[in-house]
Amino acid sequence: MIDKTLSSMFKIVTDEAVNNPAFGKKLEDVVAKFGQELAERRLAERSIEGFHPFIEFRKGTPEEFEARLMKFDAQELRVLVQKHHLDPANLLKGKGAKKALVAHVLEASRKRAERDAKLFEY
Amino acid sequence: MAPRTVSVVNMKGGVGKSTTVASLAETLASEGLRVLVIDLDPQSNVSMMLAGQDRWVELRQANRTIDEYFNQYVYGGEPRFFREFVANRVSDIAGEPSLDLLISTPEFRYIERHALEKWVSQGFDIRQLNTRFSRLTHSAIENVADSYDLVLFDCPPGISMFAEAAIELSEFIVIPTIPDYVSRLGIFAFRKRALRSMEQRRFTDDRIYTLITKYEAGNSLHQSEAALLKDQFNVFETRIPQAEQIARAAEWSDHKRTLEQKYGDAAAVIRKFAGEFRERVGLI
Repeated sequence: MIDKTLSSMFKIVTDEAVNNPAFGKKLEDVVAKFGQELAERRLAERSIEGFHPFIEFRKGTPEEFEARLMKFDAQELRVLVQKHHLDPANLLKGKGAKKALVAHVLEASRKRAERDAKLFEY
Repeated sequence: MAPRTVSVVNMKGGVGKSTTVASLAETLASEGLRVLVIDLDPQSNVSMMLAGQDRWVELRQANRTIDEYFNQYVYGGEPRFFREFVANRVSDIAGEPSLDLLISTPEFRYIERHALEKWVSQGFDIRQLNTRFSRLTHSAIENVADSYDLVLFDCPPGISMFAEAAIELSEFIVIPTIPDYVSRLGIFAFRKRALRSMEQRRFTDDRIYTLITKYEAGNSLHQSEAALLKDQFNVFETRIPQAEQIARAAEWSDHKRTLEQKYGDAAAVIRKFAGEFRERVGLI
């Protein structure tokens, strides 16, 4: 049922895009923008894959951790924040410059490491 | 040879303890191991899953329950051997796997209370009570030791005296957990207790395993927490997925079925976990 519904819906959109050039152009722009954003995000996800901030923080000094964070770009850091839920109050609002993002990740990781250490003592 | 004794436990409820016990027991029994499941949870979930409601009622009417087994020590009466309480060949898996079960009932929650009231009034302190519960559980297992390769305890959420006894008796502990923040906290809360028990018997924490359950591969929170669990604890490689078929498998089937029919696509993961479990607890 859903396959037929979707086929009918896409047929209408396809016909309109062919017969209405203004609509077709608008659609193309939106799809292109979405595609570019998606590609950038996927690239960022691949870059941070295997890098868990709470685990990496404990591997060395905070300075070393900060230096490792500085190797990521802002987009990668934003994905890192989102993936590991480092901004639960949404203070960064999904944005932030690289320096602010690094400081945020560093602080969140430090706090988490301290809390986890206490849990192991519990 | 004495059976391997393993407790499946987590202070937190809803993490899949009973589902883990039932699926693991069924898989291992279908592979030829002789498995006994002891339900220590008054919710009786694993009892219902493995025996089905009809047989559970029959066993209850025949007083073949864990409550009745411990009752005889609390209230006295004609002593019966532990093996007389055990239900043989449970499970709806085809092929008559060697899977036995001691069922629990909701009344089981009163036994501990009555035992505590009675024995405390007789002058026992909490430590002596612990020892007494442990000895009772130990002698129960000894009574059937020759009959099984593996004894699995399904422990209730929280820590009851019976769960404590099972932990103290177990060579291995499996802590099922959903990879999220509160479930991870549940491990910390319980781990120290388990560790103390292990160390008292000169075991090390490499006998305490965490099993990730209800895992959603596309959920970034699960990915993040699972990586953290792996870094902090002794975690099984296999992750039990959140799957409708696993939830459906809890319902008894009047017709025998294969593991694949029962657990669907998840059967492969469950088999993989069972293989890993066998390797880790030395049941190869």
